[in-house]
Amino acid sequence: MAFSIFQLRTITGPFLTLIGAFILNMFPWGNSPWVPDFLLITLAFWVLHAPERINLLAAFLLGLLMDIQTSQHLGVHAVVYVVACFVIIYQQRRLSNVTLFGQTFIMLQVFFIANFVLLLILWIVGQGKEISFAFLIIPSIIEACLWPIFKKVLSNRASFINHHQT
Amino acid sequence: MFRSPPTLFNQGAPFLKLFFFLLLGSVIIFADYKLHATEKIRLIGNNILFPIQQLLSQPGKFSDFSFDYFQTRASLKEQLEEQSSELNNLRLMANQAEALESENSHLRKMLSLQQKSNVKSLAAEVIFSPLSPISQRIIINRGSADGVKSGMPTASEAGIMGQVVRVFENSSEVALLEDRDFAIPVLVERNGLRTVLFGVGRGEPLELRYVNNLADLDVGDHLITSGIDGTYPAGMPVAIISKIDRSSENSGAIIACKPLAQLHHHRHLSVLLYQPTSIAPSPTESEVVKNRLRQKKGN
Repeated sequence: MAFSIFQLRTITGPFLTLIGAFILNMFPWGNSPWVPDFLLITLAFWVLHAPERINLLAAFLLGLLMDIQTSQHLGVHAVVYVVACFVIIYQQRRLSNVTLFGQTFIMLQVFFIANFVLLLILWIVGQGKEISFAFLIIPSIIEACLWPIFKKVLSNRASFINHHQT
Repeated sequence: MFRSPPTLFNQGAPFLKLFFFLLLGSVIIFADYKLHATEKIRLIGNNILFPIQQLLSQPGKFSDFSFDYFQTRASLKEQLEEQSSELNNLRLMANQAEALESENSHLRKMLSLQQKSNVKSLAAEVIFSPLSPISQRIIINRGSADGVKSGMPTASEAGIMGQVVRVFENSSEVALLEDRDFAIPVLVERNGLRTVLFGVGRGEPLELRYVNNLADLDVGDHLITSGIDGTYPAGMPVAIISKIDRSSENSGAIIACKPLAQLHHHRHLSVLLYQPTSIAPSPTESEVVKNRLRQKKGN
């Protein structure tokens, strides 16, 4: 009995928080560079802490959902999330061996890469539409600032899972 | 129980997976961008997301409501008086307008000109503006179920706001005047000079392009739709000229304009259910493509 509850929580834990982050993204924040992508931060957390549950496939599907929400060309956010998650998996060893401050700094680079890829794709698809570079720097910094907070909040949910893993 | 090695050593960086998803992603982007093959998926996705979006836009509405509710009696009375005096004025103007309209239609008949069609409108509410680095768009709560079609103009009481670019069942997407490369044919109200007004991008003023350096334009001139393209009804207010730069370096004057409608602070707008009534035969598809190619070469 206890085993089944444990299994249920391991699956629903990441899933519920990702859905929550997506709904957070759906609030009418408006169209400005000061709005961070909460889903990207949550996804980054789960890819780092539970890579066998939240993998590139999950990132891709959530990206498609995000494209419908922001009425972007389908697949734009999907590619962005996949790239961001790949970078995190690639840097996993480095990320898990540094202090929270160091981790935040690495995450700043990850978010920067993600926003850069987003603008790059939109630049290619948008046929020479002008791109404001505020959208490259400001969201990256805000997302990096939110990283410790999200890590703290999500770790409370994740502690149960990690406990059973190690 | 068998313990698998930690994930750190279990799997390296999934280069193959990354490659696969990047390929899949680019195929989907291409299918959406060039072939428009994914509209169905978007429609289904939007149908699922729309109720949540509408629900999430409620707190804003609620705060509006509570603000209205707790107004004082004095301010309400004041407002009422203001409104009744305004109503009187409007009635007067309406009477005049009616007389003018009948006269106008009579004259038009005499000139055997095309009758200006009366434009019906549909009130709509802004749900949210999607986050996007390259475009300025809003989502409204009217869709194909209410008779909205792609290409219909939208306006606030002050003037044209934009154009419907994508229609879902219960919502639709509106590109604002400010959206880059948004073009609208206008004429200067004062002297009837015809030009085209272009959107430049986020927060930047609109631009009148292809205007002679010596053209008779002044700061403060009102621009109204000319109705030439058949997309917008003629005579709707659009923008006001805010700055003119006639430096000799440029071949044409650089003219900045301010939209009359407040694009970002409106909760309500109306979709003009306007059926295009152009006398000129509409250009065939190939001509449109040719024109586009020519424009690209020009750039």
